[in-house]
Amino acid sequence: MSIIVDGVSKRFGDAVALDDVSLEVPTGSLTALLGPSGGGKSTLLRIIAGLDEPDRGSIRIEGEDLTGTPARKRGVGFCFQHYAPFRHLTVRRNVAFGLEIRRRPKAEVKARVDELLELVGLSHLGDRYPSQLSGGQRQRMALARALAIEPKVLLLDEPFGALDAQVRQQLRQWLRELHSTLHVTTVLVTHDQEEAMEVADRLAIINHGRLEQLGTPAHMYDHPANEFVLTFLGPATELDGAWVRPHDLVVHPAADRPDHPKARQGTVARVTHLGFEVRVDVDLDPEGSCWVQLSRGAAGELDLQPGDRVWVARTDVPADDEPPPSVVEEHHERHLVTVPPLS
Amino acid sequence: MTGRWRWPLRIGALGYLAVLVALPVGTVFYRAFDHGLAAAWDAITTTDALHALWLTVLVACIAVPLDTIFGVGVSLILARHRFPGAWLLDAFVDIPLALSPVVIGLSLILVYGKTGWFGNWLAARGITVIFSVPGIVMASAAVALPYVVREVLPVLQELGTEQEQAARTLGAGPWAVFRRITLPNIRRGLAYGITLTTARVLGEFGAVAIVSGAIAGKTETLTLYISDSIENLDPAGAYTGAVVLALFALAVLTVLTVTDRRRESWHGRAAK
Repeated sequence: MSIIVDGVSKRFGDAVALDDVSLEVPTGSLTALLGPSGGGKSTLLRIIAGLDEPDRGSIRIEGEDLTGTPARKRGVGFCFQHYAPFRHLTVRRNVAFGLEIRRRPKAEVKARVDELLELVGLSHLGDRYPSQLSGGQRQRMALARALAIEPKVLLLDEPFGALDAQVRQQLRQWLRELHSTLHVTTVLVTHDQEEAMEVADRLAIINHGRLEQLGTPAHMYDHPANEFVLTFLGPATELDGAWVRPHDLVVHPAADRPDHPKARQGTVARVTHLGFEVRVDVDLDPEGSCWVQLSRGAAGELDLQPGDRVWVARTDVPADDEPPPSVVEEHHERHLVTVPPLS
Repeated sequence: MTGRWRWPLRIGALGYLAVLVALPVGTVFYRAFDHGLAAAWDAITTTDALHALWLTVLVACIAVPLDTIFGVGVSLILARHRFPGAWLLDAFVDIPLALSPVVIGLSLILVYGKTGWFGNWLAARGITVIFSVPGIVMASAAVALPYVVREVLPVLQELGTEQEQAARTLGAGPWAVFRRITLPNIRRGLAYGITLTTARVLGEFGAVAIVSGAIAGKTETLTLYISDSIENLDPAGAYTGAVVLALFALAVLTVLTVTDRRRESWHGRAAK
């Protein structure tokens, strides 16, 4: 394991930022700390970097206990949300900063900076000042600057948060490729579940200062540890008191009862066309409602109109499975979830 | 601004400047060289005038660095640390701005004078503060103390701490962070603060007059020498002294303008 966070708690005044969080980041992985804003994920990242100190708990990086070690001695690459460019230095000098501090020979610094600028595609902009770069270019400069010190781990705080949608998409792809070239253990913080699932190979979901679940994106999407993870990772709707993904539901015309003992009858309340998907809201008999996500093709065949009588059934549970379980796992492994709150 | 008002406003502003600054200062220059360059040269090279000039430069060379170091230190403390009583320190810094320099001079005498709190203690060690160079330096430094803080503190607050944190993660220690990141970013505000401090120290009269005793050839700075010359009906001395002070100020302002221009190369473009 590259990073081991053990029982870390942190308060700011009365506010609990982190509550007994433990997690491990495997060497070479790209892990996303995912959760709503203010949930404590950035604080955790800063604690790993040594920019904040935990009230309790410890941080180990590559086997070494670094709790209490100042940031400058941790050998950690950190990229800030707004990149924190050194405004008075050129791109080259920004990237060279960590090497100059370490008093590396001039020739070595030059070679390394050239190599890094090449890597992030900024070779032609080395003599510019950060104010003359676009947001995406500043982001890449910040990455090159952090990578220059050959960090043991790379920490990225909301790396795409301040960029517009198109650049963000490109940079995600680029970061993924960069990671597969360098294999440096990377932890990034994001509040965007789509971004996290696309970029990271592991997710740690953090909410209210607690680790909700840790695992691969696919596993967590299909087997969320609790309702929060389920609803945070993707769309969810309720049927028969159990949470279900709306794309795991099917709609049948009233005349065609599905071969499913738990099929429910209802009335179409609304049909919303959202480009590639169609959302169908159904009022169930005798009470309750749910919504179903259909492909355009499936929706076209059914030709649903508000007021149509329909059947709704689950496709993710076999018909003979009694009763249909909620997708939320009732019993999850203990180490994946945080222990009771402080105080 | 509509065209109808543009010219009256410009003339008004220029007229105001002319009446209060340009005309009087110009007259001083004119009168200083009234009797020719040689006479002016003689007036400024008398023993007392040269001593006053030297003392003024000496005091500035000590008081300005002191205020600079103190000012940057206090700004860093106020901008980068939260502690109880920070507001009090912040308010204290402004006292010399609000208080008459005469009061500052008087209070220095009360503390460091022969009959003051530390008077005996200092006298026993052979140190004379009042009516001597240390007193003049202290009075000048006290009066000019707020300028560096008032220029640097807002820049530091605006700057934020992210660049400093980034430097730390890249391996920079506290001194390296200050020298390589903080200092270059506050340089412009600092230059302005130092300029104002220098101008104030060079031109200080009230506080220095109280603590120095204005002994000609000993504890007389340029401003005191000018005042002394007027009293002794020596207008040539007063005018040439004034011209030298004005030239000092001009030099300081020139340095400031030049530094400003140079900073603009990256600062002006940093429009985010």
